[in-house]
Amino acid sequence: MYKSAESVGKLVSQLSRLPGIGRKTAGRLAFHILKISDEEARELAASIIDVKEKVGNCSICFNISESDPCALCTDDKRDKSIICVVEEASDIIALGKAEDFNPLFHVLGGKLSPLDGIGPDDLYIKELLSRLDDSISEVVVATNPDVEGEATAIYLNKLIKPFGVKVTRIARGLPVGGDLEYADGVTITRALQGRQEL
Amino acid sequence: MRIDRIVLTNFRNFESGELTPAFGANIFFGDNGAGKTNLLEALFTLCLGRSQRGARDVMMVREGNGDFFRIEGIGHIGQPSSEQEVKLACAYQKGGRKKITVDENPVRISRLYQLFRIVSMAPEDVSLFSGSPGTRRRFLDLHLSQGSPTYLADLTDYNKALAQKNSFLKNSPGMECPFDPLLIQLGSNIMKARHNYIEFLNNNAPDYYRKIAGEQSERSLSSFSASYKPNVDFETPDEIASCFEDKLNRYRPKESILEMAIVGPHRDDIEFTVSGFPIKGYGSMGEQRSAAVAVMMASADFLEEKQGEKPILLLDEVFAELDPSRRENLAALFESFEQIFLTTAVAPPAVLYDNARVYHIADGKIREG
Ligand SMILES: [Zn+2]
Repeated sequence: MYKSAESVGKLVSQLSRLPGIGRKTAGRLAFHILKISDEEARELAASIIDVKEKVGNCSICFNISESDPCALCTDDKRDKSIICVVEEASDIIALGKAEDFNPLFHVLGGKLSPLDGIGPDDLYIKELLSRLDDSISEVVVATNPDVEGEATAIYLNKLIKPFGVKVTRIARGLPVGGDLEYADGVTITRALQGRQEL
Repeated sequence: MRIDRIVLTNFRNFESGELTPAFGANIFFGDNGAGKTNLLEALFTLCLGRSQRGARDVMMVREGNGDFFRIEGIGHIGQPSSEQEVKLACAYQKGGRKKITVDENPVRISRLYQLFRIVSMAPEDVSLFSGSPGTRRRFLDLHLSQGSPTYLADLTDYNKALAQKNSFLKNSPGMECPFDPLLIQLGSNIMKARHNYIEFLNNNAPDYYRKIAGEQSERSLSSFSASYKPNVDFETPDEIASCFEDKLNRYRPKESILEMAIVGPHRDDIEFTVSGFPIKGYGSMGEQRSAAVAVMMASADFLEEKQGEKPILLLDEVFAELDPSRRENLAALFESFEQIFLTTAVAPPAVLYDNARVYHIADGKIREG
């Protein structure tokens, strides 16, 4: 009976532990790796090790970074009176697309979700509070608009208010370029609930 | 709004079946157990994504061969001058998830609530008075969700946040739950909407009750009333959020011991009374059934006021056990609806019957005429 090499089996089971990769896809990836050149394989392995060795979390904002503090925290062109709070480091990329918005960031490392075993102590909330001194005038909470993101935002608002710092929430609702005419009632109602004075 | 066509496959006792309903009354005749109510259930499930009887999806699959059911239909929504055709389908395969489509695009159930609105009446509606508070909350939620998509969204989010809070209370006893502020915000919206709806019922249902019960009931002119028993007491709706917060603060130690959220609209109730006494235990069965119909008629008015269009009526054996004059009173109320589906063992009053489309249901077959 033919038995496939033990090392291949090991690679397949390692790959299938990655998010979004099933056993079938893992098998395809493993056989692809078998076919690539030795050099390509070494580069792939080296970059995985590189990421683990060089990239860590910024000890101020918990963004992923090769330096500590990260490039954002040390960037003099940023408005250092505003901290924008996000769930994950990947959210900073999306918010970085905004024009005229160059705040400092703070990565929570997730959102409150007791059903997933995530409480306030599992997020970088204390670290956020410790950043609030006289130089900070506003905290913009940019967690996702789902139930857990919303609960996290309201919870942070309650915690931060006593510090005398203004807390704002990114408006949820209408997608840009979306016609009001075609937005559904829930989206419009909630966008109106979050309306701001001009 | 109306349904113009509905096609069933493997649904309950129908291996296959098709209806092309008309404007006005559509009447399902048949013996008990012939499956008349199953047709109402198919209509309800097509329009709102689930059974009005609370049956699980798997229960609606035809027994015997086959492991799925499918309901497809075409309807129209909007005023006659600007009406729009909508194609609906609901399919379920055992072990899978129910698939709902609108114009062949997969949608969530919440999308259906923005299209067709239905008020369903059945003999079991007396459980509004005799059943648990949960029965009454389901009644509130069914009509409020149809009246306002925002209510449905708030309710869905509230229930998610509630599950998070209950999990938090189990794992972090004694601590203030970070989901409380969101629960206060969503819960206050829900309670405000329920307050307004019950006030509407209170203003409109008594008149219907008098019309249905007629002169024959000694108590027909005495006051029928619905009053909201919110879990959080308040004087005016504007105070709900602050009263909610106060109560949560007072009950925090108790919630912590019970490891369960016990403050909020998930503990609401309604009290229905006649002459100041609870209908349950006081009213006769006839009075209870009249009162249930009055509440449903007022709910239909509520939906019309909210959405500018009368809902479709599903009437399951509503004329049974009524004397002829009460039948006439009742039939007169249904006349103005654009579309009605009703099941009955005997011919309904002429006002409905004369222009009705009639179907005979027997042995899992639907025969028109
Ligand atoms: Zn940083």
